[in-house]
Amino acid sequence: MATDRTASTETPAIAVDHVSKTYESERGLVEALDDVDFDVHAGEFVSIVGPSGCGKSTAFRIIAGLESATRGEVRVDGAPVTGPGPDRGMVFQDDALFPWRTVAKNVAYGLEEVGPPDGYTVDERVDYCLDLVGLSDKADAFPKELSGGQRQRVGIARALAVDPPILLMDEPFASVDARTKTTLHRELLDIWTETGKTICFVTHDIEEAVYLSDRIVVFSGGPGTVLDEIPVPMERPRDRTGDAFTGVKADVLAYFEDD
Amino acid sequence: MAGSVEPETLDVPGTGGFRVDRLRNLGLQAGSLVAFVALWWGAALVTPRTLLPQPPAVLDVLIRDVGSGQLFELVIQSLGHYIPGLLIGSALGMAVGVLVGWSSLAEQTVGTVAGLLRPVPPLAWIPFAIIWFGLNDSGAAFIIAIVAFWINYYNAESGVRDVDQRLLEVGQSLGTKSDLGLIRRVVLPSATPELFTGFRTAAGQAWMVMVAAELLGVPGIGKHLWDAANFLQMPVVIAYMLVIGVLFLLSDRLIKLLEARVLSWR
Repeated sequence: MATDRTASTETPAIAVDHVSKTYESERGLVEALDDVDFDVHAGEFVSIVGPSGCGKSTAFRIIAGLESATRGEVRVDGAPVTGPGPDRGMVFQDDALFPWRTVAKNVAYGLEEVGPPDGYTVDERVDYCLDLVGLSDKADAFPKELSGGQRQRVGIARALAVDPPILLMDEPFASVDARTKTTLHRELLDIWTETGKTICFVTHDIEEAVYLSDRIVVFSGGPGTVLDEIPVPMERPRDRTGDAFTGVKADVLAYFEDD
Repeated sequence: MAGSVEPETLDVPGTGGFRVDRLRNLGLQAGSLVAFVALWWGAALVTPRTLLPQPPAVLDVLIRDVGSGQLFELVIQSLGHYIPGLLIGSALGMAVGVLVGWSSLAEQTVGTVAGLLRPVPPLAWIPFAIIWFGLNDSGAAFIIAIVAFWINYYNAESGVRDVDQRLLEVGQSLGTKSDLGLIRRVVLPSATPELFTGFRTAAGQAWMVMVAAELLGVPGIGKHLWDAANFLQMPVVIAYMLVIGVLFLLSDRLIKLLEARVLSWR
């Protein structure tokens, strides 16, 4: 009983608390999110899954602090989100690297702003993060010289550099080829295990979500609402062809089939 | 398989294909210059000398003026207002353009006034150049600065407007908070290509307006050209037209070289 009580009163890393979002457009008000409510706990890997246009990217942007909620609020570690900040590292679908900076300088950007984490110099931290994503030999390359997969790795290294407790990822692997994607999945899980980050991962790829996540938040579209939260109680590394895996996949897919 | 790889390697700088391409272009450039002179010469042969002088007469002027140092002196005189006018006008144009591109308040206020003044031809400012600065380097530099200002203003404005929104968001998420910080660390580097384009265009336009500005009576290539025209010394006129052309090419190349160095990340 005592442990149950601590668990229920523990402050979640991310609390999305009854968030609604309405846009004003030329055709009137558009409801993007309607009473979205879920938590992500510290150290957890949670995916938000839904068809395109279901508002999952809007939810991502509100958690990131890039947009504000019309009703409700997002709290990070108990404190309401009022804007973007270095406590939430962001990784975008199209890497969004600074093209005028080398790989090392991209990773160093946040360190130049908020300083390196305790025990590191800026250079040491850059080296560590590049090593983490396996790109130490590309430190002096410019983004245009990298492949799509490499650019995403740099984006991850850059987000990790300032050591944020939370990593927010918006379809980060949507535009890399299937084989690179599989590699990146393994690498991301390794990084997650090594750094113990809380990861909130937006995707429309159900298999990706099942492979990576502890829990899957299923969104429906127009306006975006949470249909269900599906736990994925499987050991890692996961076998993508196993019965348990395909079973969870089918559970998630079931929500979209009658559309 | 090997055959399909070959065409790609041909375009890589430093390989044979690249050198051949370059050599071919140089040949084309030299050939067209020769053809241009030949055409001119041919036309001059069947035209009265006072209307169109022949190339040797122009060459004589150039040799004479290079020998006497006059050409050099005229170039220095012109640069005396070309360079300050270009630099001051460009710097102000970029600064105001960045401001208007970044802030909607500046867009509505400064941008509105700019929209009103923009269509005024630079030469319409000549009366003010004269009464504010006089018939000197400053007056001519003022006219050149106005031209440079507008070109840089519009390029900077659109460069800033086109900055990738996501890069700004990444900058913010990585701890850049103030507008000034975002401008310095994200907006300016990202708009550098447009800033260069503006500056290079302005540098070219400035040569043209310089000739007109020297009409005021400010010593330099343009004034020399007009004086010669008054005495119907057409070989001198053509000689200095060519000088302006060469100066334009030189400045353009110089800026392009600088651009290639600064923008090696592109």
